[in-house]
Amino acid sequence: MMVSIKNMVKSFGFPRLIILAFLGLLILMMFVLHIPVPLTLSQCLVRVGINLVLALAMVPGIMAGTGMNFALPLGIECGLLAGMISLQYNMKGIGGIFAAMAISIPFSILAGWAYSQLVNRVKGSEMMVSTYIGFSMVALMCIGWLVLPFSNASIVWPIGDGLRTTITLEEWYDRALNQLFAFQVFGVDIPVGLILVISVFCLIVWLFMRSHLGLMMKAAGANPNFARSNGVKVDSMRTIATILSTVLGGIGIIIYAQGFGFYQLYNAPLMMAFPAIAAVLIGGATPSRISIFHVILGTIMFQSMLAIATPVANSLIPEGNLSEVVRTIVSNGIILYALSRMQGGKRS
Amino acid sequence: MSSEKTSKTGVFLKKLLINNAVTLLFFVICIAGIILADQPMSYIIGEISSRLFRNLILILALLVPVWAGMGMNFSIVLGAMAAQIGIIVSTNFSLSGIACLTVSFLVSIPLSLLFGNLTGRLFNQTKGQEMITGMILGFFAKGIYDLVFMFLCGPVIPVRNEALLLTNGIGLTTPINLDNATKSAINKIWMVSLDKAIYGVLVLTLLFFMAKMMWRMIRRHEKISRKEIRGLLVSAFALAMFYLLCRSSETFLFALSFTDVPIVTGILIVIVCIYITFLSKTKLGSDIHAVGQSMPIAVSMGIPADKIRITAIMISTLLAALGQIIFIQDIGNFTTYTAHENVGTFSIAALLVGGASIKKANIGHAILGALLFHTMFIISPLAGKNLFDNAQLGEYFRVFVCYAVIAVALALHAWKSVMARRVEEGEEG
Repeated sequence: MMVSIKNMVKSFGFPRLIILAFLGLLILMMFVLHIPVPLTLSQCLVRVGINLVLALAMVPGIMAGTGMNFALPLGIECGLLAGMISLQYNMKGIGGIFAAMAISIPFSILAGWAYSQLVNRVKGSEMMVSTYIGFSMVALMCIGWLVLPFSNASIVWPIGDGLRTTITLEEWYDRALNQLFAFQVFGVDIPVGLILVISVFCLIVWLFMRSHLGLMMKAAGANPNFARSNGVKVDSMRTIATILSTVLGGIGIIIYAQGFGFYQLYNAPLMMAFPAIAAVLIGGATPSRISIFHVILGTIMFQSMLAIATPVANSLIPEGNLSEVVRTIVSNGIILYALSRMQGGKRS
Repeated sequence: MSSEKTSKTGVFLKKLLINNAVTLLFFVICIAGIILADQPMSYIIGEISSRLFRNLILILALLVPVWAGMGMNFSIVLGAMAAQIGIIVSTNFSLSGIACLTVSFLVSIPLSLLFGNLTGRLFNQTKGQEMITGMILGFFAKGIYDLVFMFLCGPVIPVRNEALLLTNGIGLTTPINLDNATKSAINKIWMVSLDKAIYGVLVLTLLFFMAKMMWRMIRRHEKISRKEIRGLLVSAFALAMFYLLCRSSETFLFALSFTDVPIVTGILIVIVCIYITFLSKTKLGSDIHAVGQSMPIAVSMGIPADKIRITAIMISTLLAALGQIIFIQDIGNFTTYTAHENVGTFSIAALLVGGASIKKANIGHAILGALLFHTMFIISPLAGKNLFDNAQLGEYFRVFVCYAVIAVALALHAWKSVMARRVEEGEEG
């Protein structure tokens, strides 16, 4: 009996158990502290929805063996650039969101392809290189936001050069997807449009994983030498995976921004890869194995934990940002745990 | 004959260019920036020298893990945290002056050794991915640090000095200011103008070489090696050149005499350098190098590789703590929750700019890198302001350069090792 429990704990993972317990504690606290449950649940739904596609961007990389895509900011910057273009030309409503997504795709493909050329040359050190590629792209785009010729008065600073740091989307497509077909159940807002869109993306990725290309990609990730001897072009699989991941990152940030109500430029995307990585790891993915289920479960657990932690922390200690600290500890803690489980680190 | 010779020099030059591309590029950026920034020489020299003394120990702290084959130690952030905890503790007991800094360092010693030990153990679990682990560990530790000092200090951990706490009694204020007696306490012990300091250093080097030669000749009756004569000649030449330079350029001499350098801090830096050099000549040092060369071979030779790796990280973390104390006393305050954030990134970028790689780094790289990197750091906002009328642009540019340098160095190293592996596999097949 003890052994089977031990095995269960082992397969489920010790840190996931802690996070689950912590989540339970938070839910308990929510009732004890009389925090309005429907409001918090609505928050949870929105947060899960807007973060899911960003977490989904981890799938292709892990499948193809390039590991967790720490260069997610690369895709995010492409998405932001597309978003800015959509605002510049006053694309409004649902159409504006989809237009922004469409515009982001060519940028993402280009950036993803260029970046994949690098990824294929640094096998074994992808994670470290990609982190700093992401960082340097964010810093480069900081210069970009200052000098790119955007002129719409609502998005540039009234005095001085460049785009604003935070751009509220009220004029364009603030929460347009969330409010599409939305209805209330027991006071909980169900963002039907958002759920529909993210389901479509999950379905696309799920189908892709089962397609011929997806299976070849999986083979390339699981055992490159074996795959190569069976005629799979490992490097082009890695290229496709990197491009896909970048595209999903670009689309993800647009969905995130519309649900959040702002575009945040400059240094905001710097650390955005980490919550997405943490979410899939919490869901049970490892740096070499992932499924859509892991992504969904992980995003639900991680984001609802954060969504509940915010009001709980605020009613316990009004000052300071306790939930931000919790986020830092949990997300980086789970990444550390995953790294230490890699056993020797390098996969041949 | 001659064509063969030129092609050889050509190959040599090409190698030199490729191997030092980052350093040379930085050299160009720095010179262009200095011209564009259009600042008085005294300002630039003063800023560079103060930054050099402020940052050098933090950069030197990175060397030992590189030798042990663990790459750039991103977790020196933890050493910086240990130093800040030390300063918080001694400020809590209202110490001031040198006593405050000494107590801070004494407190940070056990803390940084503990952090280093734990980090080393974690790194042994993640061999081959030490750098990414170190970086994430830095973020994780920041979370724990924030939790302790933002929320636990006050309600759980008693704080005596109420000036440290926020008005509601929960969490520490930011920034934490050192009082006037503590600010720059180590620097203020003995300040000398830069021209005199350079003369002093050059004369001392000359005397050192002379004494070494005399000792060899008279006491041990050995022949003098070429290397020693060269050392003597080079230092004599440098002294003469410096003298001529000072004589020929008024502005240069003025800029130097206008700049004061902290001698005691300088001595501390020299001690750290000597310690590191000495370390690499001991048994531990050769073990560290052996582990860095090849872990399986080291283990087969009976070297406890895991232990050696832990020791290397502990040394690094301890030096980082010392470095951060020097840094903070020079500035005079620190932002409680963010001062440690960029320590790792900036030090690593500086070391890489100096020509170091993930596998190879020495004191020369650290000094050259600190010089170039901080020159770029000072001048880029000024140059940006003059060139585009926008200082912000220069600030973003320097952040970009900092990240890009690390990205390029990491990518180059990874690429080289992939190529090497491919060549090896090709030979086997």
